[in-house]
Amino acid sequence: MLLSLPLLLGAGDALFVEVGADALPGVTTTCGSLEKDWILEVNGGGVLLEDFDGDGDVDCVIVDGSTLERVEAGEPSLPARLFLNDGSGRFTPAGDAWAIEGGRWGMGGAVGDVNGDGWPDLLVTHWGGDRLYLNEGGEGFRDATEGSGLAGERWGTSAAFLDADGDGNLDLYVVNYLAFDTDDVQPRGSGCTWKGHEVMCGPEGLVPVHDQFYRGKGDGTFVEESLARGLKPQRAGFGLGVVTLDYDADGDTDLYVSNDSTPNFLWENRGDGTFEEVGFRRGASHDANGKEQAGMGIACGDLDGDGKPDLFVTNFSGENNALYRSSKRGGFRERSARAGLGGPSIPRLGWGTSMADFDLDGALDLVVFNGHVYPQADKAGTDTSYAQADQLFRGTPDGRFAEEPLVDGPDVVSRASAAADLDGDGDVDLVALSIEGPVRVLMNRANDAGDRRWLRVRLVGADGNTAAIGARVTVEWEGGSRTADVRSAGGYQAAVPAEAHFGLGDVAEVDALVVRWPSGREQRVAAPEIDRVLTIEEPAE
Amino acid sequence: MIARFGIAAALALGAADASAALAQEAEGSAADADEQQAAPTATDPVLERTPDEWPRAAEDRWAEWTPETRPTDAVLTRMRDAAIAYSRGDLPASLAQLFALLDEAPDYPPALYQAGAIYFRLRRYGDAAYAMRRYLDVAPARVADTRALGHALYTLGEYAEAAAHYRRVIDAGGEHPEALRGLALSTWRVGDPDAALALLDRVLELDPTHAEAELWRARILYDEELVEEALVAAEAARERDPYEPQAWFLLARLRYELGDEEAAEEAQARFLQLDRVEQEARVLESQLLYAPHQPALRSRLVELRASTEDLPAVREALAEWMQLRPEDRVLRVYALDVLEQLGDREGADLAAESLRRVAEDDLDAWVRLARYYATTRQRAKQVEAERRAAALR
Repeated sequence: MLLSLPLLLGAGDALFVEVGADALPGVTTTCGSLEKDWILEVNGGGVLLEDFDGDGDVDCVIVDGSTLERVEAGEPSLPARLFLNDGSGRFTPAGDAWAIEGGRWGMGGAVGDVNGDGWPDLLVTHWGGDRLYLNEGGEGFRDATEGSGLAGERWGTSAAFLDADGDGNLDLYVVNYLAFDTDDVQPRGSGCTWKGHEVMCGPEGLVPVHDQFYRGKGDGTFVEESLARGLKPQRAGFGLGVVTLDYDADGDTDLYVSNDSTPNFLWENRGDGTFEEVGFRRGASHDANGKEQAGMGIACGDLDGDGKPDLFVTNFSGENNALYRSSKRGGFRERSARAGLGGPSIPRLGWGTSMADFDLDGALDLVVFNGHVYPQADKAGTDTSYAQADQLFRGTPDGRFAEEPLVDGPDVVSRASAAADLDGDGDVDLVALSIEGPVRVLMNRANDAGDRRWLRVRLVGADGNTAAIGARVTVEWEGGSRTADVRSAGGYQAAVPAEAHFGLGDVAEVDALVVRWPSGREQRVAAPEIDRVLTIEEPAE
Repeated sequence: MIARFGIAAALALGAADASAALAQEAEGSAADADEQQAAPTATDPVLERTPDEWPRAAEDRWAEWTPETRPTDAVLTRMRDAAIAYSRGDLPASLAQLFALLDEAPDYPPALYQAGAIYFRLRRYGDAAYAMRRYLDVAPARVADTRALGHALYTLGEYAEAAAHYRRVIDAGGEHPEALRGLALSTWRVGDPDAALALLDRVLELDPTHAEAELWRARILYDEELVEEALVAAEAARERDPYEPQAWFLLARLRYELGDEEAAEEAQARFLQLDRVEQEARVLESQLLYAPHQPALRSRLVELRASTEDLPAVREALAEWMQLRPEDRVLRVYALDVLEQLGDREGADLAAESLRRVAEDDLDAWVRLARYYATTRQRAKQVEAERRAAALR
């Protein structure tokens, strides 16, 4: 079923095994110089996963960066590249038809069907102008940036497609970081210090840039409506991550944005596609001490089965990663330490993260990819390091997480990551970037023996939101149920397939599967078969 | 914040136990998130070194050591110089003395201890823990001195180890509020809120004015979704320390959850005001730890603290600066100006006294003192100041 994996998972083995050298041979990314003299050089590129060619398996777009020398020479960034999956988790470069031109400096992006033709399209964020590529029926990409309505030359990081106003067309939220220009921002050596060591400057002291909301017209073009939708806070944040969710279970799609060194945003959808920022009010803007943290990536899922999503945000070293649990009173409470997630994150700087039932035991787990922004982290007295171990936190029945190494092997300076079932065996695998190094493919060994229960649900919406982003899927069995939202945004500068994944533990039969479609319709599927990818079409009115 | 003077005093006196003074810094430091500093500094070479460079003494070299053991003159001189530098707020200089001392007298216990205290203040918690553990290696009977090791472990996120160490400290040295508080927080972090609340109650029995213990009670009650009880505790914490942003943060969150929008917005606004000041102040303080001689940063720190009329914090910022420049008359005039403008009569009196001690033949200083004493109707001192000024004209 898979590549040349080692023997079946045994006691003491890491759940994941790194197969990047076979799965994505020779693929690396670039993000400036090794010295990291500028803040532009530290965030790394992006990972965008979806089935772009419609052959039933998950393909992979790697968003690459650039160097200041290239920028100064007027050369485009290294292009983002699509790699097609042969179904086993082995990727090969897609042909010329899928070529993606470089922009100024690639960061991350988003995936969604923006013109309602049933094929996933691609947005690539850049420092300097985001770019849109339409999927030509699974045959290739067409650069549709010109005339798309995407505006500005900001520093886009993460992005999310959502149907904010329920009109059946995907809208777009682009997260922006800060105003960067080598004429205005100082490099390392200008007196910026950290723990007594000279480091690159920022983001403190630099100018954060507002995020952008675009209303989708359903034909692959957009109109920027950030102000009209209320999506402009008093103070911009240094935005890095975004996830779509329905935090208040009212049926519309809300947004959560992680901001670096500024409070995180929780944009509550008023039901008509306009938004109100309620992060502070709902307990999701700061940590439990009232400190604004350096938010990087976001994972989201219903950890406790209360029907409301919980949030997990990766942060800087010296801070804990923040687990925002949905509270009985609505909103969130930051409860990282009690969950066993706080302490182990303090020496580390987290980026990519995903919440999924990686071991298929019925409880959601977390992965965190770590690596410092400062190479100087290896100097004396920092209580951290540049390369760091990535982490797996297995969910347990008492609500705590048990930490274990994600893979066996040396520490890495990790950045973006994305999770999906790459080899079709029902467990969730990972693709991750390191700041200077090969793209990593981490295959999950949980179901190597084929004895675990699982279900993947892909939806086909009746309107232009063909992947039904924003739908909520619930599986019900005797004595229990579990809910998952369909989204393609998550992590950090990453996109994942728009589907719901369930590990079922010892549940042998599912009684029903209930879909709440973005249109508001509810559909019940009785006794669905499990251990498969189930595709459900929204019934016509 | 006043704690820092406690540390300095303890070191200057050669006392081994400075950890009580460190306690109040522990939780705040945990949230400092390694802030970056943006101003030119000169890094002291000693900061590029690590304590694992220290040579080890022969086994049992310090087996007979007690705090009463008189060191050699050379060691005493180094310790004194380290203490003087520390009391001035020049941590790198103090640390450099201790590195030299530990080369000359490996594992000398008070030097290990004081290096641990300095590393803690520099927010180098791993190095602080290392130094404290070395201290315990050579002076295992002195575990009661090492609350700071518990604080360092806690700040590094090693909560179970921190709790275990606090228990050892309490077993050895009795119930000290700071050890109990540290144990409470560590216990909470490993998942036992009831035990943590009981420990905080005990802290408040021992020290009913302990604002942080009350604040942490509020935090835990809030986390347990006991909103009404948390509100009472948060109000009490705010009463005890009205300049602590966390208390206002918690009050705002609680008020929102209780649907009291007006009070919530008011508390949120105050939180944001205090937090902005606290964030900038924390960055400045962090930078000054590594490179203390930066007048522009010190002045900005005073200005920030004055902006919220946090008088204890203003006094502390001025006092630290004056300790660094013990003969600086202009600085003392500035301190007097600031405190007088803030209406801090007690603080201004202290600043005036400090100026009077160093004024000597400085006409401007005596004129300023005469004006201050006239304003505050301290006739005898006014007469003396006017007399000194007249003699200098």
